[in-house]
Amino acid sequence: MSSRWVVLGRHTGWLVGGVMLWVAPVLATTPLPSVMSTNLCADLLLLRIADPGQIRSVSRQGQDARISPVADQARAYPGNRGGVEDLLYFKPDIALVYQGWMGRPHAKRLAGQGIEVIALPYPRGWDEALQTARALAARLGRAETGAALIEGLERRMQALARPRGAGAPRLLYLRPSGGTAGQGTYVDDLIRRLGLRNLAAEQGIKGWGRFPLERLVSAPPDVFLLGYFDQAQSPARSAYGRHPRLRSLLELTPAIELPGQAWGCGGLELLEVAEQISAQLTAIDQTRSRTPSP
Amino acid sequence: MLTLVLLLALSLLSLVSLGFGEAPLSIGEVIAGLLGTGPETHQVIVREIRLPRLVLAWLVGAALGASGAALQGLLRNPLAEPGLLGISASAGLGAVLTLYFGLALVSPWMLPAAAMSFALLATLVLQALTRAGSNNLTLILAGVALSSLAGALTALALNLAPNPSDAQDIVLWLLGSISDRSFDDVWLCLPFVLLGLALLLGCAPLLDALALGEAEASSLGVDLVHLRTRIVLGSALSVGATVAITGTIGFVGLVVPHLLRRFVGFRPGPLLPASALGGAVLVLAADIALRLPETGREPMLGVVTALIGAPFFLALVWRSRRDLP
Repeated sequence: MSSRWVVLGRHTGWLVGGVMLWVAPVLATTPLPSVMSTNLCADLLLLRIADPGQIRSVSRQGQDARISPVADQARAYPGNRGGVEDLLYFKPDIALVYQGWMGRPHAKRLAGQGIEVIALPYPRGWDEALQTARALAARLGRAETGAALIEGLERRMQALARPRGAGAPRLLYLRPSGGTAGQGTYVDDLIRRLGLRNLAAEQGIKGWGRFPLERLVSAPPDVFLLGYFDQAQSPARSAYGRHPRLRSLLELTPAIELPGQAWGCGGLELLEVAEQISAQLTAIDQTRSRTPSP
Repeated sequence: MLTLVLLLALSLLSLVSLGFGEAPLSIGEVIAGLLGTGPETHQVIVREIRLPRLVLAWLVGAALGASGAALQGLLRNPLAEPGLLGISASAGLGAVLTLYFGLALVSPWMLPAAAMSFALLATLVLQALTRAGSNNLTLILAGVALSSLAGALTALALNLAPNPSDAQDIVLWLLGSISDRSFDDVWLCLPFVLLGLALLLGCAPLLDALALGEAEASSLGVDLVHLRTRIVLGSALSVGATVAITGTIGFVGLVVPHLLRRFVGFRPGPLLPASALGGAVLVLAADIALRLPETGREPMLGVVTALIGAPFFLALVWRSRRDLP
């Protein structure tokens, strides 16, 4: 009980804000459920919306600076490998797993131990990401804080939307393997949310597909949105990414490069990605207006 | 006659392959693009995207077909094939290790070099086994062991890979594909494949003599040590170099010599050049077949050749089960 108040004490700002004043008596009687996350995407969400005091453990992936943007923050907690044993060992009230988690057959046994397993869906868009965050915040006993946080994120995203028009640039999301994001992906959702055009979706690609090199030659985008190209050093990674034709297209076409770890999960971090894209597009526009086109 | 038929099939399929792609080009536009008279977009599509793919199909098919025929002749074993004997898997391991330790960044030549060295190592092990007096069964088992070992070490490297998406890409690459390759890739393997093919094709008359038996071949003046060295080196060079660029593509070396054997009078000598051509035809046909369904995501070439080759292999084992001890 005392520890709960210590935790609340860290959030004096919120108390003054009046939001927590109302929740505080409730918290005093029901402590926040403890929670652990077992993969990078769950870590990203959890570290944003949970109270630090309720986090029992985060995944080792989340602590690995090579793939995790929140490695420093995650190292404050014990790491886990995401196995059933880890769950039994840390004994949280709630364990966050991904949809394809291998330990699912054990869910009943875990429930018997008082551990509720929650599988986080893979979002198909910003709205779904917000919805997941909202639902999880409520489940973690942080509905109010979560709602305030999410409202802020939503406002920032809305502010980024450009007026949509026929002249809006066509973006193409591309990975070194030739992978792209068509209709029904969070990348597509984000591009359209920003008032831009997604070339892959316009070319009829649905879901996570491939953008053939030949199509790239005959229908090039106005701007490339490059994912994971920072990691595309080794030749096996993809013949596509090393193809001289793609390379020369990349030299001629402006590109927004996003680090591989930035948005693999499609969670709340989509906002920061959207802000980066927006800022880089503005920069590209400025360079274009300065250099007259031939 | 057979050579003529194969050459005709190869040219026809080559045209079909050049005409196939995402961009809907007519055959006239393809030829204009190839000759450099069409619009620039067409030229780029045909010359830089479709042509390297075609050339790689030739090279891979010829390398695998010729190696299969040569190994079958040398080991006098109808089941000998680079894929089944673990030579391709070993070459794949060599390539993955180069990628894993970042050696491929030092020089692009490291990749084929490592793949060829590992292929050579595997071939030498198999050859030592046959010289120690092994039969069909032990040879195939040794191949299984080599394949499993190479596969396990490859999987270990993937497990330890720093980045999960690295692992995914390498797994896909190992399944074998020649799509989206460029002439940079072709130049990287071309010299070794040509050298390997030259070594193998030069062995054709000697293999005819060897078909009579080792003692008979020796009495006809065939230097067996020299012959073995040439075939081992030739297979390792051509298979290793193509695996480094395309990943492992199986069963071509098994299927092609078997299909063509009866047309060359069951003589291992003429079978060699025929299998080189036949291999190119088969790989090209498989590469066209995998582009036929409109699924958005192409199946991998190695998967398609395995789909053709594995049932064939089973039928072969079924037919020859009485011969196997």
